[in-house]
Amino acid sequence: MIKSLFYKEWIKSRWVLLIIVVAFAGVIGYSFMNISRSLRVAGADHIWFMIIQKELTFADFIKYIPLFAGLVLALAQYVPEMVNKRLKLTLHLPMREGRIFSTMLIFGICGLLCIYAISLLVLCIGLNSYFCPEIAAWSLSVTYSWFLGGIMTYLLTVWICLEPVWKQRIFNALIAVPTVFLFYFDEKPEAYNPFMLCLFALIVAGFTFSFRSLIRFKDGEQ
Amino acid sequence: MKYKKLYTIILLVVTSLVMAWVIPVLVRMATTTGQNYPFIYFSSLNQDFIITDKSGAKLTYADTKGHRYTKEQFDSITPLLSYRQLNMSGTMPDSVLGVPVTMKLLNTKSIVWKYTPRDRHKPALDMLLCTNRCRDE
Repeated sequence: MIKSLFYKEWIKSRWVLLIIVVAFAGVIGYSFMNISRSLRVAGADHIWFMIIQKELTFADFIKYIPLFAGLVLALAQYVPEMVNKRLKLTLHLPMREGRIFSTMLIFGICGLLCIYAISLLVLCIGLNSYFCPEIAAWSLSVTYSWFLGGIMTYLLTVWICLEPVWKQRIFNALIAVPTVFLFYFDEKPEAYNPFMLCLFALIVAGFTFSFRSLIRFKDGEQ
Repeated sequence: MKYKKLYTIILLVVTSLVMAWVIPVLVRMATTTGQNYPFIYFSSLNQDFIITDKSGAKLTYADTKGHRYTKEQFDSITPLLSYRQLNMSGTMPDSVLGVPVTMKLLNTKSIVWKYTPRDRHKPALDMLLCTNRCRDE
């Protein structure tokens, strides 16, 4: 049954996943072109100076792509379910409702995590080919909170999509926007490190939000 | 499905924490005004701090003992800061505390070091710039 649910989610979201992969590939490719151009035009010694003295990083173009990925994947998975309340049919499958819904959420999170992991790996290899490992790790560390922010965006968008009452949806969105913003402060590399556990805790809490909306949906709240 | 109460409590806790951050930030943003903090310089001639205060209608200069100075007096007792003005007015001293000073020396040896409260716990890249000289050494 879980395999079938995964397949159903795959059918709904495969084109969106492809768009996300293309977006990541494009932005990462552009980032590498930008690094290469900077090194050619400004010279390696100037770039080295800017990195050490001015804390220049080279992964900034990717900042809002994880957020975009989380948003569109959640919309692709859950808007069709909410049209004509088709989710009711899904919840009637011979399995516990909590398990059905968890499977759907885990599909989305795993899909995002796979894409994020591959993107991070490509970024890591690319940055290491241009710079020494210390600078590559320094540049890469700024992206971790952005990727976590993508997961949080996905969970909060699901929460908003599943909410059956429009007024409550607006309230949810008002909470969701500043919560996601917590992951996207314009900070220096490694500044987020002491706050990482809080971000993970927020993601765990965010996972439960949509279950509350699901219960309200099942109870027929209007 | 069970645990609706638990999910509601988690939602309320997270909402309270997020709002405890958002509301003060928005209020501060809506109500904040410019602050005229006094600037403090060190006078190498007086061996004392000179405080410039812009909170009133006029900019005032005073040392820690309360003696007030005019702009010209302030420039002359802070030659390491005001050497360009002193040079333009032709009042640049030949020496400061017995050490001969020239415009070239002050231009090449003066450094400005900026440190803000935000820098206090800022992580830093554990690498240094290596100049040609240090490379040779």
